[in-house]
Amino acid sequence: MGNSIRKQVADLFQFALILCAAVAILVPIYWIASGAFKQQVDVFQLKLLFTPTLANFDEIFKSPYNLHEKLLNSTLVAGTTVIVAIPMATMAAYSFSRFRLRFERTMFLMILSTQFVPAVVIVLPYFLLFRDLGLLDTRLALVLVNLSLILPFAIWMIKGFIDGIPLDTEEAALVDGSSRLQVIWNIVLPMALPGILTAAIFCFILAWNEFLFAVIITNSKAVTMPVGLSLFHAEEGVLWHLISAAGILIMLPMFGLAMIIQKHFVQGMTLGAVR
Amino acid sequence: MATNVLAAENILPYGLKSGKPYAGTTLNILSVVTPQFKAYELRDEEFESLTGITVNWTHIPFVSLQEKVASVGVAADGNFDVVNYLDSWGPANAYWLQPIDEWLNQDGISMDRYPEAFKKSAMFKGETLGFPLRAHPQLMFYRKDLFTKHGISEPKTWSDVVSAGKMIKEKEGIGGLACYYGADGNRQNLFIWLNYLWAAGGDVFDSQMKPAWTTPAAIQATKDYIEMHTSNDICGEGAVSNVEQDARIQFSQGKAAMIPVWWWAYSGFYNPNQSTLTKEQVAFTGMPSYKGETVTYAISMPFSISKHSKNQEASWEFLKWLSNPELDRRNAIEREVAGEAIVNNVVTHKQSLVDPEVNAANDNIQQAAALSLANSDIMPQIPEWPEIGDLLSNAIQKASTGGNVEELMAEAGQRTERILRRAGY
Amino acid sequence: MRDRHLKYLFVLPALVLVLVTSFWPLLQSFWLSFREWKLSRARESRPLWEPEYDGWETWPYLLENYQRALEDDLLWNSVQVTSTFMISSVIVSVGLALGLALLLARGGKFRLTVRTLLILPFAMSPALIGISWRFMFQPDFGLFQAFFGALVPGLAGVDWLGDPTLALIAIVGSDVWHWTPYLTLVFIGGLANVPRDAQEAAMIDGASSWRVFVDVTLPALIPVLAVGIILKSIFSLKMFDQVYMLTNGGPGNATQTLAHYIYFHGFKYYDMGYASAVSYLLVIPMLGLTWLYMKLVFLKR
Repeated sequence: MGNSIRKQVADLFQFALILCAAVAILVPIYWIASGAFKQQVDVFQLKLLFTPTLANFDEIFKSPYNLHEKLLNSTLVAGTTVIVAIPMATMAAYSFSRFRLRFERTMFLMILSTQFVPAVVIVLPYFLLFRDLGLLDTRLALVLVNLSLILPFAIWMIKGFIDGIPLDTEEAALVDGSSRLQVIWNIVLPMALPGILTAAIFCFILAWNEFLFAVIITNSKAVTMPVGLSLFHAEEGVLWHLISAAGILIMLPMFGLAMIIQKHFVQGMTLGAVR
Repeated sequence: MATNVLAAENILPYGLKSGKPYAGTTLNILSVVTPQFKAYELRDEEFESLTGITVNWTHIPFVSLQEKVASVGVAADGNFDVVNYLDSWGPANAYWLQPIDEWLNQDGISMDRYPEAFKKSAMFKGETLGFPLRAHPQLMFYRKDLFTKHGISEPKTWSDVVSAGKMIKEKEGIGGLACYYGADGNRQNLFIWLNYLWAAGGDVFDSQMKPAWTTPAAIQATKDYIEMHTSNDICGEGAVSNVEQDARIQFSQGKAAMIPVWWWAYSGFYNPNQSTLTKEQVAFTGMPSYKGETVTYAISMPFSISKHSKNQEASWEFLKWLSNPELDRRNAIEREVAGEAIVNNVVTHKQSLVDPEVNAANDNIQQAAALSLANSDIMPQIPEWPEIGDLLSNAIQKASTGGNVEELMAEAGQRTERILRRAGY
Repeated sequence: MRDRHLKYLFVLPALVLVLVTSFWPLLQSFWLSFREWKLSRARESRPLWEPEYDGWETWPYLLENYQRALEDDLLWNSVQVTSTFMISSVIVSVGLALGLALLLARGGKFRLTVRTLLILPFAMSPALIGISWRFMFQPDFGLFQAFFGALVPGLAGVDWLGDPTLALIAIVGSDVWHWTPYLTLVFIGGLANVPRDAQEAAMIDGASSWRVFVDVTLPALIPVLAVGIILKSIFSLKMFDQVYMLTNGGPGNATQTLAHYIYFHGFKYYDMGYASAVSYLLVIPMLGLTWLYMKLVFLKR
């Protein structure tokens, strides 16, 4: 009897904590997002009630912002980067995790160390490289830059997840006669899927939000979203009503992606339990 | 022979070369985002039809412009023919900007068509780098309705500002002055400080290129600037972290009764999209005087030709058109260009400032500006200025939160001396 | 194909891509740190020493950028700001993320909904977060200003961004808000692979849930935790957008992180050679962190 009440209190306590976390996440987002429906002059008031308008969503797609072009470029660049990077990273991560390689520490350190230097210092060398290759203002250049930014993290994060998967099932399957590739495809990948997806979304977001290289390398054809967002820093000030509208539009697909990932998360967890 | 004579009769306006010698060229322009330049872009068909030169504009928001311009200089491949920049970045980029003095002489254009401060801002080491297309004097904007209500007259000196500010704060409960002591890497808190400094007879550097802001007069001026907030408490909320933009919003939202800022902010103060104020509530006057003197700081954004441009002659033709006095006038009178609504009161030619039509269309703000420009100056033109300016900006910000003015300015002076020594001065 | 060959083949594509895309610019900027590259003087870099000097005397000149960096007290200010920022944001965000992950790791609709929300803060670009937080700390109309002012009476009229300590707290707060939900997702993914049988066995044996956590769950989480900590640390060391937008290093230099310092010297003061040198100084703590990580993880085997 006492135990059951204690359990209920514990459950309630957990519920309250989770609720606090949810509120902490949502309140700033709500406040920023509500700016998308406000008129410019209302944004600077601390009011909860205001006359809503949809005009902002219209305006961001018109000149000079042309958000749709920038959204397309961003999607292509970030999408290509992730599609190229994740398979490569997964293979490399598996190898680092399960095998002993000659010079593995050096290779690993080398891969990671490319991330230590802040972008500002390498952006001009990249700029000159692309200029010489004739790749300025192209999406290819951005994909290359983003690959260099996210590949190390992708390898590393996925390795962390694979490290956490116990070896027994793999070894059992190998003893049973499966080839290494079959083991990876049938056993490791499904269990590592939550981790891989988490890493994938991380890389997508990083590529999506990358600003400095985009602003220096692009001029008009390959301009991406973050550079587009900076157009809302107008001379008279930050155009909050527009930047919020754009912000909402950016968050929606991420939200959708996250919902898809959640399904796989649950699968991954139950797979582990059934074992 | 006969055809030559006929050709000479086809004289094009704005001093453009007749006969379309550069037809078919494409020019790439890098420019900041602003309605004034948007209007130029919308009008450039006139230029294209007169010369056969196509013009491509790339607009970059101010927040990224400095990096972009630096990268154009580094690329050195003529990817942009004409670039727009802030005057304080001019000295650092001058090594790749084409001086236009020869062309000016050849075409009989004189830089004296601009007020002295604007002219200076487009020059470096005696050479003219370009035309100041977007240039601003400071004006003091204030709430006419509140001043009338409490029987306060237009502020003429900074002491007037202090007393007016105190009264407004007491009677209305809002800030007297929208102050911006915040330092954000754009050195905006120096704009008003310079007014105080120069009026006191001081300067940033002395003739030996040593920091001159530690003289007693300069320190007193700095103290008076900062004491508007620390002692006299006339500022609105957030004075020590606000930058110019925050101050403008504060004024527009009715949370402060006065603001010393650029003249182009005027239309924003009564635009219902941006402001809660109506036109009747907003008035402007010249900048206040300090110790009997008024010297104001002016700023500009010139357009220059890149040395790496492969179309320098064509670019010069473009600059001639872009900067011509007639266009300058029209851009401040016409409120619609090619179907798009544009509100712009920025003009840079001396004659536009006194032009009756221009003034009529803009509530005589140009006249007030002309008075402000009569005695105005710009920040020191050395490549090291951004770094030194930031040191001063940070010192002033710290002082405004209660720091010791003498110590902070002396420290800034020492750091500056090290920078100047390293730079070879 | 034999494992012996397969394992190198797996690593090859990634390694080649990293070499090709990252290494050349990195090497070039390292070389630049020993030269003078002032964007305000010329588009090319030039050596820091004159050729006439004899071999031995050139060494001090080679290291001039580094020497200048180590002598600059503003640099040390940035080091201190960055360390404070990094330590606080890593501890707070990893701690909160672990706690949240444990709370959210079970099934149920409520938890599922909240888990979906977790991606949102990370999806916002840091620049947007920086500027939104700045907006919310505005004394006149800021949300946080009103909220914290009501919560803690002492903070009512305070200008957050004008006070050095509060401004740093604001930066840490925005960074924690940005990263914690994502780290929670990472840890949830890690929790998914903790061996259930070991947990159940321990519980059947009568161990309390705390002991189960410490003895079974936590050790199994170490690889993922390590990833989270090092990841967060590296990004904290490089963090730039939020500082630039929220406080721009202010008030004064109170929130000027190393990344901000480097950016300003590179692009605003046009001294790329110096900025490169300072960046490579930054590499040292990062190398240290990675070495630590590798000790932890590679040693497991």
